Amino acid sequence: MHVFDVLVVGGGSAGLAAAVSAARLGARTLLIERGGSLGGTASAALVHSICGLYRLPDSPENPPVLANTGFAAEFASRLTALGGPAGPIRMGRVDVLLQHPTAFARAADAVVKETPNLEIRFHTELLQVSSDFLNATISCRGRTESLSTRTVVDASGDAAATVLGGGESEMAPSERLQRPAFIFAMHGVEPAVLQDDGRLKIARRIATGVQSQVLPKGALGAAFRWSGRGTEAFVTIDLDAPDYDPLDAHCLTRLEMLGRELAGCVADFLQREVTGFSQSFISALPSRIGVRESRRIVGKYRLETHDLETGAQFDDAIALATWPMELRETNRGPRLRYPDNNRPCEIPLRALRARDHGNLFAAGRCIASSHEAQASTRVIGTCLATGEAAGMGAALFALNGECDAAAIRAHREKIKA
Amino acid sequence: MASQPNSAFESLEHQLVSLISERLLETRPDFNADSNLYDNGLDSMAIMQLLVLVEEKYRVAIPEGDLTRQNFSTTRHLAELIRESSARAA
Ligand SMILES: Cc1cc2nc3c(=O)[nH]c(=O)nc-3n(C[C@H](O)[C@H](O)[C@H](O)COP(=O)(O)OP(=O)(O)OC[C@H]3O[C@@H](n4cnc5c(N)ncnc54)[C@H](O)[C@@H]3O)c2cc1C
Repeated sequence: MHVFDVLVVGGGSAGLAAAVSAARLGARTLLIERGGSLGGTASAALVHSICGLYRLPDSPENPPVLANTGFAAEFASRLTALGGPAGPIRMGRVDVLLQHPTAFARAADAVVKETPNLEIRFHTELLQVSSDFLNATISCRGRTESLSTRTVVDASGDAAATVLGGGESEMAPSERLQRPAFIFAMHGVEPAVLQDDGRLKIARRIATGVQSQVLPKGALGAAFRWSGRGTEAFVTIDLDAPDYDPLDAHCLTRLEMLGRELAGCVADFLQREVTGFSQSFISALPSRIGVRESRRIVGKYRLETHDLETGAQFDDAIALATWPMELRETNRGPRLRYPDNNRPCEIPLRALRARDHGNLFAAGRCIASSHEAQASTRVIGTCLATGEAAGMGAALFALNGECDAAAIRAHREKIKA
Repeated sequence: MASQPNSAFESLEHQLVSLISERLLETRPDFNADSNLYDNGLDSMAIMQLLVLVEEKYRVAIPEGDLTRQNFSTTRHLAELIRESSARAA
């Protein structure tokens, strides 16, 4: 039987950061991922910008300042090195790093290949984990295998590892969950029509299409962005999802099909009726819809809405959350709730540790937080930072039987961006 | 702040301010007719929603040519646009 120090479940941005960071501290690390690439939502769901990498600027003249050094900063510079739109751009009150999902997956492969002590297994799903989180059963295409580990990092986005081992989790009621979205790519779009006022003209045409019932109402949720490459554009459609349950196969199936249907309607309409789209077509569909929120673990501390609003500080801080709480409880666009004086909020290590299990850590969008707090901490920049901290914490716990925030902060300092 | 416009005009601005904060954006506490909408989170997707909301409510059609970032930068500008459109329709 294989023996590991750290088992990371899920290879999204958080799992990637966790696995690399644990292995770099010398822990024998296994990362399992159900899909065929790293990045999770950031690659497979075609999310194309990274939020939460920078602090909120105090004035329009101030240049972007990194929120978290360490792996988040390192990975951001690896992405920039792979081309595409380089460097952060300011959108209103925030700084964002535009990225390409294909670059994310490639940069992730490159960094894991360079990392000793790290084994990656794609097409592999966690089936079972014991209630002490020391033994797990994994499966690849019907072939199962048992392994033992000292610690588990739940980076599944859905707190799936926690729940499989009998750990506690919570989830917002259906109507409050952040709405899911369907992102697809189009080719043959003239980049000029996506600049500044161009996007407003597209908005006008789509609104008219909906008003005249040529387009379904769901098309009103569509947003457009040039991908930074040739004539490629990304289209994001926030989905109106009645009886939404991100853990229910029926619901997910319905939404995947709805997303493709809307994508088809919108793309056909644009191609037929809108300047700059006459040569365009759908060039890529996501391999999964984008789920913004599902379960969160019950931790030793729950990051509260108030903490985000006031920019709370903690003795056991391991990362900064800097993105405003981006509420998307409807498909009518985001509502951004900013903290007092743009203050960053510290994330305590306790929010990454399961309340009842010393060797269970969480990272990414399923850390212990309130529904609103998660609307800030779910962004990729913050997932990279919580992933790094959870990976280091799990490695230290596996190797020394304990871990503390000061040690994690000290290790992060050593990483050069 | 701009000088006080007359009360009939003010009410359209007021209605829009409430419509935007209730239905569309997470507006700051000091949000008013002159606040920058983009700073309050307006993006092209939200503009789409806003168009449909105001066109339905005020029975106007805002033409494509008027769709500029400038015209949507504050509630006051938007109110102006709605007045112009209904004047044209009348
Ligand atoms: C439509 C949409 C737009 C967004 N836009 C932005 C944006 O512009 N900027 C930004 O920064 N953030 C954005 N976000 C948020 C951000 O993309 C996600 O919250 C973040 O990527 C989540 O990362 P994660 O690693 O926590 O989880 P995920 O990326 O969801 O990764 C979890 C991984 O775990 C795997 N997994 C789950 N269960 C198992 C199992 N049992 N066994 C094996 N593997 C398993 C899954 O296959 C998945 O790959 C957006 C999200 C959505 C949905």
